[in-house]
Formats: sequence, structure tokens, C-alpha cells
Amino acid sequence: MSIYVREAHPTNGWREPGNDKVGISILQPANKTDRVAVAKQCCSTLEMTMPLLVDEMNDRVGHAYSGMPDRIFIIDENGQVIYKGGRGPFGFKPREMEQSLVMLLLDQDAASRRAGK
Amino acid sequence: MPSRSACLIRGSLLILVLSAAAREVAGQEKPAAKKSAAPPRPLTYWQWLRQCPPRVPEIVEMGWALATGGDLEGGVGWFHPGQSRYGWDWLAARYDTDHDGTITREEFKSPAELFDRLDRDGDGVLTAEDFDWSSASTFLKESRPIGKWFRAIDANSNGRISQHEWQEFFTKASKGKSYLTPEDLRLMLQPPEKKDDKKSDDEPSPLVLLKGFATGELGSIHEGPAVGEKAPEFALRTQDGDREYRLSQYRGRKPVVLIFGSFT
Repeated sequence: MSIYVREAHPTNGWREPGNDKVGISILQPANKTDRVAVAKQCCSTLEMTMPLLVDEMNDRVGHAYSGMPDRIFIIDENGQVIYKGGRGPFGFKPREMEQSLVMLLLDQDAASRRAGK
Repeated sequence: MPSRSACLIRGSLLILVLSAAAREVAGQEKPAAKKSAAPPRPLTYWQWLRQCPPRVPEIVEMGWALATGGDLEGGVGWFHPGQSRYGWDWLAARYDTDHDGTITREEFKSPAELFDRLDRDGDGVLTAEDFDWSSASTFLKESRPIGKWFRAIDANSNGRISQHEWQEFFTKASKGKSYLTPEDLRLMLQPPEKKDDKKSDDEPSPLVLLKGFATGELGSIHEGPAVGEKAPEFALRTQDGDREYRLSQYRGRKPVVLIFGSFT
């Protein structure tokens, strides 16, 4: 699932010309209603298919995970962190996450086979 | 040329960072004290110093990088590589049965689809290079231009080139011709840098960076859970308000991938 956090390049912050070029100019949402509206726009523009959760205005979850401006985690079924990607944008590497996820599945498969024997 | 105001801002930024770092270090002491069963006793300075992790808090690293200027990129400031329980060493210990530094499909013995997902460069064998995500990786260096070209064609930046975007690119590059020449492609994919353009347009001023640092737009001042630690619980609603998701609802059921991000 994905978690929508504070905007990284709002027009009232570090304005990114690349966004203006594609007609995306967003002010940093000042209240929850605005934040939900931007999250909706994000969801439809990027044709997202997974659930998009909107963080609280005090960025509680974004801070708890150090998830801003973007970052990927894998949590196993015991609630333990398996993979912690680097801070985005430079550390945002979906393929690196995918490799860890595949190895987690291999590990679980081997463990269940050992348990089955 | 750095102006006087930029120097002033950087100077005050350093002071801010140092005071914030002091708070972070003070904050790190608390959980350790909570864990011990014995009644908490005030620590001597040396005990406190020994308990501290031998590591600079990320907020100090980033503050220093901002204060001393320079380009932000991977490896600079608080941009560290990802951490994982799994990597090449884990995989090789289980699958590289002949210890030759490569894992073949025969050695892998698990579904081919999983092999393909691990084989980053698609050369049919798994090697340490497939799992090197640092800037030293040859594969990553060589794929950089492809990423740049992709973004030049992906007009709406949604990570997918549609047939329409592909045709638009052709129309624009061919300038009315019915074909493309190597020169047309070069001009589109590697446009020459205009000498009279002001390069500073794209670069944020120190004030913008300071503001981004303070608001968290540049990144959280917190570091988040490390690999092996418990993931913090949360309950959040989706953007359409339809459903609430909790991390704990997947406990004991399946792994969860969390992708943090924003629109811009």
C-alpha cells in the first residue's frame, strides 16, 4: 500500500520546473481537506491501483517511518522491518525492494518446507 | 557566487542543526533507560557517552551538507543506501552450491519467475553485481541515460510511456518528416546545453532549502525504524475515505510493502 505524505515540491516551497512543464502546480496543503484533494488528484493522474492512505496533518506516520519525501519499506508478517530503502529521491529503488521481497518469499517457503518435514 | 545573505542563512542553519542534534541525542537516551529492569539511576557522563551509538545523527549530516553547500545527490548528507535482511551474501550461501560466485538456473531450483525478478541485468545468471545498488555499480551507471530518455518521452511522468506519448515523441522529433534520423533523436534525447541559459533556475536558494529542511519537505528529521526493528503501528484512511487500513491487520498473514510518497 502507499502512504501519501507532505508534498516535496509545492509551488510555495522548492518549486520544480519539471512539474510546471506538465501542468502540475500544487501548494502545500494547509488542512486535511486540501491534502485529501491532492491525494485524489495524485491517485487519478498516476492511475494508481493500490490503496493510497493519507497521512495526518502532523505527518505522524511520515515521521515515524522517516518516509518523506519518499521511501519504501517491507514489513514481514511479524511486524518486523525487513527492508528499509534509502531516503528518496536518491534511495527510492523499487527493483531493490523487489529483490528483497523475492528473497523473503524464498526464505518463508524454505521455512515452511522445513516445518512440513 | 555565494551572497552575504546565503552565508548568514547557512551559519544560522548550522546552529539550528547542532541544537536539534542535541535534542535527538537526548531523545535516544530514553528508550534505553526504559528497557532496563533496574530502577533508573542518573548516568554519569562517561556512561552516557558509552551508551550513545558511535554514529552521527542523520539530521546533523544533512544540516552539514546544506550548510557547506554543494549538490544534493545519493551519498551526500542523509542519503544513505537501503538496508535489507537479504542480499547477495544470503542468496549465495543458500543457492551457490559450487561456490563459483554465480547462481545458475539449475542451482536456483525455485520458480523461474522469481529468478527473473532477481536477475537485474537479465544475463541469465545471478551474481553479486545484480545486488549492488551503490553508485559504484556499472549496471546502474550504464542505465542512467535510458532513464533520462524514458523521462523525455513519458510526457505526463506517470512512469509509463503510452502509445500516444510514443507517437507524440515521433511527431515532435521528426519535425514533419515521415522518418527519424540519428540527428533528430540526438536533439530530442540529448539536447545541447544552451550557453546563455541561466543554470541556477533549477537550483533552490539556501532559503528555500532551509525552509524545506524545517517543514520536512526535504525529508523527515526522524530516522525511522531500522531493519530488524518493529514497524510502528498506524491506522489511516484512503484518499476516498472508503476504507481504513491498519498495519496490524496483516500481522500473521502476509508481508506488507509500504511506499511513501507525494504527488510532486
